[in-house]
Amino acid sequence: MRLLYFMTFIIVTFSMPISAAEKSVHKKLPLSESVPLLRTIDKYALHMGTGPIEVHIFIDPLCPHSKNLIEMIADNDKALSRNSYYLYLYTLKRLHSEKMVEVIYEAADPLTSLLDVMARHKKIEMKSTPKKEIIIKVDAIAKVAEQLDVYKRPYMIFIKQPKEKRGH
Amino acid sequence: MYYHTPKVNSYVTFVEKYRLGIILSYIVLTIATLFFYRPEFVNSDTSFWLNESKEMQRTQAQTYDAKYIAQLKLNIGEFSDEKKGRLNKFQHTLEKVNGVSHVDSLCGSYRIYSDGQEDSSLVKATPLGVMDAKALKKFVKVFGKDYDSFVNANFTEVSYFIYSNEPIDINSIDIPFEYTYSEPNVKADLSDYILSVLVVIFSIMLFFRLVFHNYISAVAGLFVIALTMVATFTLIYLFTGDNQVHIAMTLIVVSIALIDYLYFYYRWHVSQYKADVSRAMLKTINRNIHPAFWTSLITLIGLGPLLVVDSTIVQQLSLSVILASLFAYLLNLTLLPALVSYFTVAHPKVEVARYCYMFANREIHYNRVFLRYFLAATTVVMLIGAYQLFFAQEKMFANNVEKDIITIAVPYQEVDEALLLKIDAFETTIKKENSGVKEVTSLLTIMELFNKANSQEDIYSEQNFMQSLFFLELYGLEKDVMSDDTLFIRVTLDNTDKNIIIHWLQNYDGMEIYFTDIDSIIGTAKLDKLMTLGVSLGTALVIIGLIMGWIFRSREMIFVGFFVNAIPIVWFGLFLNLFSIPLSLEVLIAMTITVGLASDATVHFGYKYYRSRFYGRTEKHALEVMFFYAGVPVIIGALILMAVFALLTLTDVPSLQHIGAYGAILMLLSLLTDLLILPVLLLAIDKFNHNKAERPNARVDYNLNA
Repeated sequence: MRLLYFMTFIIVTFSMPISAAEKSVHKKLPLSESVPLLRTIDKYALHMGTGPIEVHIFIDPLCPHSKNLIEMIADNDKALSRNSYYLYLYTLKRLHSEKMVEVIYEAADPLTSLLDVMARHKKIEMKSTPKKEIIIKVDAIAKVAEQLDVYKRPYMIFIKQPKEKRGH
Repeated sequence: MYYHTPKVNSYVTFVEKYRLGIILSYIVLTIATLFFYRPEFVNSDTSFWLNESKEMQRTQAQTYDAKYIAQLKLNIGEFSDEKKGRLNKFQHTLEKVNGVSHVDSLCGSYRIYSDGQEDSSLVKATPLGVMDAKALKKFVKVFGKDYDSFVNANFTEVSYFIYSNEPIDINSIDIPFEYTYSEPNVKADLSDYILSVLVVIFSIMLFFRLVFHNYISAVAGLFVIALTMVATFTLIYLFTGDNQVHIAMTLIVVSIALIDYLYFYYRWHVSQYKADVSRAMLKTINRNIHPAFWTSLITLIGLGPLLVVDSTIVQQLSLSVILASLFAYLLNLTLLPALVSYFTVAHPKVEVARYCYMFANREIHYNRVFLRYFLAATTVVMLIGAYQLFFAQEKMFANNVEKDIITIAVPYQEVDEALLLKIDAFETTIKKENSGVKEVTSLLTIMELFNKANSQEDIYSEQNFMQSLFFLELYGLEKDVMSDDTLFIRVTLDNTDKNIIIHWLQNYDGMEIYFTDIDSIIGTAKLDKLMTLGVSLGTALVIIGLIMGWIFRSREMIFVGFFVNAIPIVWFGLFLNLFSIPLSLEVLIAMTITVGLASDATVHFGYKYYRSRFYGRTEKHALEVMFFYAGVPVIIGALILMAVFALLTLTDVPSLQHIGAYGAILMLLSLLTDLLILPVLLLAIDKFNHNKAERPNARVDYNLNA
């Protein structure tokens, strides 16, 4: 019986930190902190839309949810006119999409290439030799994403101009 | 004064000499009038109230569209995939109907959820209509609160809330199930109007035949009524420029012209019992010319000031009574003598007249204490009504609804935390303070659904609400809840008095609110105008009382004139209050008819009574004379009008059904007041005994001085 109590104690004690880690609370950084970080990488973003609200989205080109979102935005004139989208390619480890990210960045028109993959479901050739500037881009995005605690794909951050009326 | 007997011999001779010319002139004039004036008959009071509405003006000033919201309830039986398919298809059919802006329903609602749980920020919104029947039932069972308005608990009844710019013609839509529809048709069909005209003609023909045993009485009556009607509405058109005539408003003219006609015709008819037809003509004119003049003057002076009240409804109602009274007087003095001069009466005896003695015998021994109690009770009810009128208008006329919707618009500068907190405060307060508010659907409600689907707890974090707003726009769901500068909020009511909620919203100062559904705007107009209508009515009654006092040179008659007119309305008001009957144009029309008729009756009754007493008749004898010459026409007229009103309740037109029910009740109250209260009040204020000794057992000779 004592052995049983001991075993239970051991299991409970060791499982507690695991549960705590699983239920880690994610909280978005305040804009005052996240905006300066985003400004360091927005030059690496792929741009869509012309609206006054900036929507910074971290996506994985092979993630089905990210694909759904990009597909909906790309086909939606209203969404394109109301917002300006900054798309950051940030991979999910389990999807192994690093190669796809390089191919998209290397393309002559990376946005078209991205939309081909994500919205138009086209198959593209996966030949690529990673260039130094692409690696810098990917690493910079990954570094900021970690600082921003980007744990989802798609992951969105909205920046609105102060007192700017929506849609104008 | 009541004791003068005007000399009208030369006038009667003139009318008899030129009778054909008089009749033809009227016919030609009427036909010519109908050539340039074509009234448009409507059976809905919507446009009348909308013209009155300050809220409508506010809403229009903001360039917001006010919509009609109709509720269509379908009985679908057992819910299945096949029926769900038909409901989906029907949703599309409704959305394509001309004038329909959108349709709220179960199949048109959205399920908002996250597909990727915690891995993704993507939130999806799919219409419930795409789910299969089993899944849909399960879904609604879990989230029933949000869908109660659209489907009942056992899924056998579904409701569609149809928003449209104009009332839709439900008969033109192919509806796949049995249904009930909340809105009446606005435009009256010609058949509706013909039906009501036939009801009037049939009732008059039948009653006149039974009472007077001839047809000329009915034909002459219909002639006078028809010409009064044409003249009245033509002049209203000339004064107001509005050719829309509410179908129930025609009954004001019918009622007033009919009773006025009866005073004249009845006297001509019964006078032939002892005199020839020429003398009967003389009698009918010299005995009615003064009281009928005073009745017309009373309506003119009593209701005339109401013409300057800033209310189309009040203006049209008062104009109808005034003009009907004036034209009926003119026609009864000219056309009627010209018409009936061609005939003599074979049976001048009127059987119902014998009941006059019964009334006179009983009322001479009236109970003073009971009278005082009755008047005290009436005064108490009147004071309660006055209190409600000034301090609690929303409680005066209930507008109980089972399921209903109020839509409001709220202007905004920017969707931010402050705005969302304002909406949240509004939703919380309205629900807390009004148990009848079941749900409030707003931008916040839908944003909260998106927020929850994204497992984010605090909607008031700017990132969270911006993300929710983003998805709302992405799925095109924002158009029902917001535009670039306005939020649209839907308040769902369940088994409550809508007036109380409207009043609450009008007085809510947490944010700027504009009503955007026609029914609520009409509700606000009714609440806003209640004071005007009540004060107008009270003023008219006081003026009528004052003129009565002046006509009869008696201060007490001021009191009698006021009370006799007020009694039916006060008790009818209590009836409306107790049975939660909403205020409508039909109610006002029925009340207006009563004022018109009660003031007529007071003058005619008073005239006969005072005149008899002046010439030395006993109180009892004066009562008999009064009942014989003034009571009988009132009884016949009231019975005909009660029959007309009762028959109108059998029609399919809601407006005629309402005026029928209210008119019949008010007519009965008015008749009871004329027969039971007015004579007793005249006895109570009688001062002739102070001046002259009574002559007991005086001989009844109606033709002498009555």
